[in-house]
Amino acid sequence: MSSQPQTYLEVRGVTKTFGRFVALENIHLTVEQGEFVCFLGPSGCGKTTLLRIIAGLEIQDRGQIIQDGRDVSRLPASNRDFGIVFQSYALFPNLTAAENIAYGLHGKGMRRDAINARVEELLALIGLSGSGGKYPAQLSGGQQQRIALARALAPSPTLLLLDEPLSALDARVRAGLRNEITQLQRRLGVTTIMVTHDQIEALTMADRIVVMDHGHIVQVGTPLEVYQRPASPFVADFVGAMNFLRAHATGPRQVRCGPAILSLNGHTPPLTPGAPVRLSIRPEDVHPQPWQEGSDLPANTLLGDLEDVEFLGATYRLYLRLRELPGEERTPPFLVDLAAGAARRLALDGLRELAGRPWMLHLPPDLLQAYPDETVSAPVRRSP
Amino acid sequence: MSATVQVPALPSVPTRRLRQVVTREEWLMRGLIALTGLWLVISVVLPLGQIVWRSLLDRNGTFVGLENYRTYFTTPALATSFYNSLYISTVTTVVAVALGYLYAYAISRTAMRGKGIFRVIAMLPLYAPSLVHAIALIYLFGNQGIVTTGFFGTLSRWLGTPVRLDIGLYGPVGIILGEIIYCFPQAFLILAVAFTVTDARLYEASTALRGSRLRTFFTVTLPGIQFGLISASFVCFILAFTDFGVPKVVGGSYNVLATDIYKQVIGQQNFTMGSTIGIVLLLPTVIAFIVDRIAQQRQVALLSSRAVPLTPKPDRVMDTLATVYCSVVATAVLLVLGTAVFASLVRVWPYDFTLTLRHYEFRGVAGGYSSYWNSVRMAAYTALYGTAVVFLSAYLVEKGRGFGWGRQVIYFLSILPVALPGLVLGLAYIFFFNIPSWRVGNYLILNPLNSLYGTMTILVMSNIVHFYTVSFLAATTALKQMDAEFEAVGASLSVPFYRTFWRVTVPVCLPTLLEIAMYFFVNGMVTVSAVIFLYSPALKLASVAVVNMDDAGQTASAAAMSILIVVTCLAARLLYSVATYGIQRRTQAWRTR
Repeated sequence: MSSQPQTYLEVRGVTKTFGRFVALENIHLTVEQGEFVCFLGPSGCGKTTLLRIIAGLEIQDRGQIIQDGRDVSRLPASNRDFGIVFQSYALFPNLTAAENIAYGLHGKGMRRDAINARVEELLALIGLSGSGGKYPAQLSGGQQQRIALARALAPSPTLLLLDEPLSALDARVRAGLRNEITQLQRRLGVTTIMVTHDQIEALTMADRIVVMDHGHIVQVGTPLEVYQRPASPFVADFVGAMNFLRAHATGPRQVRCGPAILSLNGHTPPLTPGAPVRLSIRPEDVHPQPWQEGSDLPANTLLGDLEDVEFLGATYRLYLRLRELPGEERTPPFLVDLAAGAARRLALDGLRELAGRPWMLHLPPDLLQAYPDETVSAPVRRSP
Repeated sequence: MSATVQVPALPSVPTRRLRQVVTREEWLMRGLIALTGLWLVISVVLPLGQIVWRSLLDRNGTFVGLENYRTYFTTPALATSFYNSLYISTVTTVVAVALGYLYAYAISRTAMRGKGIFRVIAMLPLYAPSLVHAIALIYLFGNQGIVTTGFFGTLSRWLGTPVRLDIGLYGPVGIILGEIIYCFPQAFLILAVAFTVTDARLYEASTALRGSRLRTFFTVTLPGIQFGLISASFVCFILAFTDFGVPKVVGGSYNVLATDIYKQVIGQQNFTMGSTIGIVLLLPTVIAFIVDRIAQQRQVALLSSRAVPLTPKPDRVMDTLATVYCSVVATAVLLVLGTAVFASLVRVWPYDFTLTLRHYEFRGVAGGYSSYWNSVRMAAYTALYGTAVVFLSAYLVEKGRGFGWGRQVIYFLSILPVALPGLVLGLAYIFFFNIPSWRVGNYLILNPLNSLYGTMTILVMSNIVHFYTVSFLAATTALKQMDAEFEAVGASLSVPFYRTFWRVTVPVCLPTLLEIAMYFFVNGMVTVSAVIFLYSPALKLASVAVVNMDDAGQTASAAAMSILIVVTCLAARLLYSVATYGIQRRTQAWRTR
C-alpha cells in the first residue's frame, strides 16, 4: 500500500572508534522516505560522526549503511547521493551565490540555460531572487546559509544532511530559518537528517528525534514522546528542564518521597516495592498554591519554601527548597514554571516579598515519572 | 506492507575494519601523493644519503667509519674553522637580534613617523647576495676604503696630520660586520611579526592594574615575543654559520667552515673531507631546527583569534629616540648599498671618480650578461616550478585523502630542507647526480638522473629544495585558513577534487602563490651557496660571477653585477606589488579582510 512509510535509509550495527575512543557503538536506525530526523545530543555523543558516516565522509569500522535499497557502506562521498549543509556554510568565497548554487550542476551533461533556470528556481525557492550575483561576503549569515541550502539541493539529492546548520546564526535569524527549512523540507519531501545540540531546534523541526549519548542511541521518538515520556533521566534532563526527586517504591504505582506518599498512574512500568527510584516532573507540570501553616495537605503534594522568583516575560520561574527531604540542601532547587496569567492570579506580582513563604506543590499523578535509581545500590527501608 | 529492503547482512563478526572503495578519482589523488613522495626522495633523501655515505669513506672509496671525523677534529687547521664559525655566528646573532629587536620595537610600538620607509630600507639587504655587503665593506673599510683613508686624505688635510682609520676589516671583524647586515632584515622581520601578534588587551589589563612599565615589559612584552626571539636567534645563527659569500670576500686568512668546504672541494678536489665538513656544518643547523620547531609548536596555544591589535600612543621622548635609532640603522644600510652602487659607477677607484657605466659592460670579464640572463632564467623557472610543486605538495598533505602515512612522510621531508645549508645541498647534488651507477652486491644500477648533471634542471631543482620549507609552510598556512569543509562539499556534489582545487583553492590562495613565487625568484637570483658547486662552464650564473670577479680582483665589475642582481630583485618585488594590488582590487568584492 502506498500510504505505508517506505524505509529509505538503514543503519545496521555501525561501530566507529578513533584510537581507543569509541565514537559509535553498534548503532541501528531506520529513516523513512521523506522523514525529517534530528540527531540530538551533547557534544561528543557521536551524532556528527554518524552523519559523516552516512555521508561517506568517514568510514565506519563495522556495520552497513543501506540507502534507497543499495548498500553504500564502502562508497566514498562522491559516489553517494546526498546534499550537505555545514555549520560554517562552507560557501566558496570566490564564487557568486549563483555560481555556488550551480557548482554541482556543471559537468553533469546539463545545458547552460537549463543550469541557469535551475539556479533561478532555487534562488526563488529560498527567497533570494536577484541576489545571485552577490558574493558570500556581501550576504548576511542567514542568507549565506540559505545559499548553502540551495547549493546542496541543486542536484535534487534524495537525502539532505544538515550539520548544525543554525548554530552560527544569532537567535532571531535562527528562529526564522528554522521555520523556512522545515517548510522547504515538507514541500520538497526530501528525506532529511539534521544534527543539532539544540533541543528547541529538534523539538520544533523534526518528525522524529534520535537522542544520542556516549556513542549510543538512548531514545528514538516523536518530539512529543521524547519530551513527555523521556526514556531515561539523561533524556529527561537534556530535553527541556526537569526536576528530579529521590524516592522509594512502596507499591507498583506508589512511592514514598520524604514524608509524602505519591502515586503515579502514568506510563511508568510497575515498580518493585522497596526499590529506590528517581522521580521526575517538568517545572510547568507542577501546580503551586500558597500554603497556610498547619492546614491539611491534599494528595500528591509536597511542601517547599520559595527562595526566588525569576521573571522571564511570558512565564515566571519559581525556585523552591523542598521541606523534609533528606539531602535536599545538596541538590539543585526545585523549579516551577508559571504562565504569567496564572502568576497574576496568584498575586505573584509582589514577587520578592513572597520569598521564604511555604508553598504546596501538587504533582499530577499522570505527569509524574519514575526511573529505577542506579545511583543507589541497596534500598533503605523505613517503616511507612 | 512496509517495504523492507532486502540487502544481505554482513557476517556477524567481521574480522577487519571496513575500507572505502577506491575510485578512479582516489587513485589519481594517491598517484599524486606517491609522485610527490618520489620527488622528495629523489631531491632530498637520496642526495643527503649520498653525502652522509661519502663522509664515511676514504679517498679510495673504502669504508672507514667515523675516521674522517676523527681526522677533522684532530687536524688543528680544520678544527679551528669550526670554532671560528661558532664565534662568528654567536657574535652576529647577538648583535643582529639586538638591532632587529629595537628596530622592530620602534616600528610596531611607537608612534614615530616614516615607518613605511624605515620598513622598506630594513628589508633592502634581502634583495642582495650576501657578497654585496662584503664588497661594499671593502670599499668603506678596506685598504683603499673611504673610511680607512679618511675620505681619501681629506681628513688628513683638514687636521694637518696623516690619518688612517683601519679597523682591520679582513678577518673576523669584516665577516661579522657583513653577516650582521645580512642577518639584520631576517631578525627584524621575525620580530616585527612577533610584535604585531601581541594582544593589546593584555597591555590594557596591565595598565588597569597599575603595572609599571618595567613590570609590563617582563610580564607582557617578553613572554609575548619570546618565541619570536628564539626563532630570530636561530635563523640568524644558521644564516651566519652557513653563509659563504661574506667570508669568501672579506675573510682573508681567517677560515670558517663554509669557505673550508669550498677550498676542499674546488681547490683540493677532496670530496671526502668536503662531505665530512658538510656534515659538521649540518649538525648545528639540525639542532637549531629541532629546537625551533618545538618552540613554535608551543607558541600556538598563546595566540587567540580574538586578539586585539595594539595601536601605539604618541610619546615624545620614545618617538624621538625611535626616530633617531631607526635613522642611524637605515643610514648604515643605505650607506653600504649606496657604496656598492657608487663603486660600480666610478671609473677607477680611488683615483678617478668620474662616473661611467663601463663596469656594466663586463668587458674582458669572465661571464657578463650571459651569466645574468642565465640567472634570470633560473630564478624564473624556480619561481614557476617551485610554486607549483610546493603548493601541490602542501595541498596534498593538508587536504588530501588516503595514504595517511605517506602524507606524514611528505610533510616531514618538506620541513627538512630548511636545515640543509646550501653548500651541503650543492655538494650532495654533485655526489648524487654525478655518479653514473651504483654497485649493489653484484648488480650495477645505472643512475638515470646522471644526464641532469650540469643542466639548468639540476640548478632549478637545487633551488627549489633549498627554499622549499619556508614556501611550504606559507602554502600550508594559507590552506589551513580555508574552510575545512570545501572538499566535503565538493565531494557531496560529486565534483572531482581537482576541479574544486582549480576553481576554489587556487583562486583563494592566489596572493600566497604570488608571494611564494616572488620568494623563489629573489632567492634564486641572490643565492650562491648551493649553485656554486652545480653550475657548469656553459651555464654560468650572475651570483657566481660576482664571486669569480671578486676573486680575480675585478671588484668594480663584481659590484656592478651585484647591483644588477639587486635591481632585478627589486623589479620583481615591484611587479609582485603591482600584481597583488591588481588582484586585491579585482577580488575585493569577495576577499574580506
